[in-house]
Amino acid sequence: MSKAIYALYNDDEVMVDGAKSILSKNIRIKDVYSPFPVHGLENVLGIKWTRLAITAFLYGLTATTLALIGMWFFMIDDWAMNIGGKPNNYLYQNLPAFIPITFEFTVLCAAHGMALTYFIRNRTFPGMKARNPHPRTTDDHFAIEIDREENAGMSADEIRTVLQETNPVEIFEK
Amino acid sequence: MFWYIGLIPDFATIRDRAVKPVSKMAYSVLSFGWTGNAKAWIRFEEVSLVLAGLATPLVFSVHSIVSMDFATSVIPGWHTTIFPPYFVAGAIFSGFAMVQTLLLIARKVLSLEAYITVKHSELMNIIIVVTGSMVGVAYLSELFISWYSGVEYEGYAFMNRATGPYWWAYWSMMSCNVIIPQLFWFKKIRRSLVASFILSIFVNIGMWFERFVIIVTSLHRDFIPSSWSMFHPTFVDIGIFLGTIGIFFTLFLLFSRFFPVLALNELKSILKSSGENYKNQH
Repeated sequence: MSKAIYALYNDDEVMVDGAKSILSKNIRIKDVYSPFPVHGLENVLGIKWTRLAITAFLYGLTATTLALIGMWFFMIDDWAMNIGGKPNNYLYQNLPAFIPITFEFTVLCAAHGMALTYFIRNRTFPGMKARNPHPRTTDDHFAIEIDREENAGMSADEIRTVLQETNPVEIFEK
Repeated sequence: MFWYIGLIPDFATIRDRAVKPVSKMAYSVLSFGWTGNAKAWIRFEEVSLVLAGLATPLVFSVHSIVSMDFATSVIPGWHTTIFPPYFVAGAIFSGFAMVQTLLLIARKVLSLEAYITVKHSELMNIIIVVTGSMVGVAYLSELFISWYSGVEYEGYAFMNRATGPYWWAYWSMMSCNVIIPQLFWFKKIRRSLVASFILSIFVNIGMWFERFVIIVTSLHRDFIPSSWSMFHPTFVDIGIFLGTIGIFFTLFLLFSRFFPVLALNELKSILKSSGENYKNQH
């Protein structure tokens, strides 16, 4: 038995209408593959918006703290630096000089941390095999994936009939 | 990283269209196994937005810090507080001019006329004339302040730039960066691709002279006349100059040969609506 049934569309609007129609027939959609972001699809599929921006903020916050603690330790506590006779006994007196490194380190960690999280969450790494069901879903076609196990109450033919009503260009199983 | 993350879905498009096994394998490695599912696209948009947001202040910080590396020294001609905004404006100015030069050639050679329009070129020219004028104001301000400050070393450094042995570099910089881009005030010139290309070359030359003027004219004569001398480039200097131009163009040409020069996924998402509007208008 195949694991999933796919409906392939050549228009994003037809695909979104198709997804609405499939969901109205109580069939669960596992995923949708598209060559570009289809806006509004997340509301149809009930996908929550990503929290990646929050992770970026947290990575940035960690970096700001680490940078300030590090500079306080290196420049003030461990070996007090006297540069041109400028005050160096307190962190706040040195803050203007510490701003560039704090800023750069914050941006570095926020950007790299978020990008790594992005790769991990998407399961995309160098050399990984592509898992899109049809090669044209990265070109100009859109695929709706119906998992057989998630829709165990329906036969393959019933699902195919529902998909056929949504005007796909092709229906295939994998 | 921002650049590469944006390329991943486009590498996937090429991967899935590739026929030869070698290119299929190469683009498979480059595309990180991108699938383009709904959640991945949501994350892609969020990452693009946040990285763009982080990159914008980075432009300001990088160029202001580089300029402050000069400004914190006590060399006449470098010790000026106008350097940070002056360098930020200069970076945008030279960046746009360089992009204009390469873009206009790439547009013609790769037949991208339908995607990169005259309107794009015109808008870039507006940015060039605005930032060029900002750089011009910075040049005049530092000239004025060198006199107004009453510091004789500063005053001499700028007099020497304009009338000393390197007067030709100073006036090449002034004419290429400040005077010539003012031609972009004329709509006909702004919308002419040939004129845009020629003027962008002038700006590239002018911005090279700006670096030459800042570094060479300030270093060749400092506080003690006994240490004055002229700058004679060695074969290493010339080699580094030609080599960096060579490696830049090699990488640019390799990129335009093997990688997508336009953001395919971004174009696809706007092409349908904008394409239909375009068809309805004509």
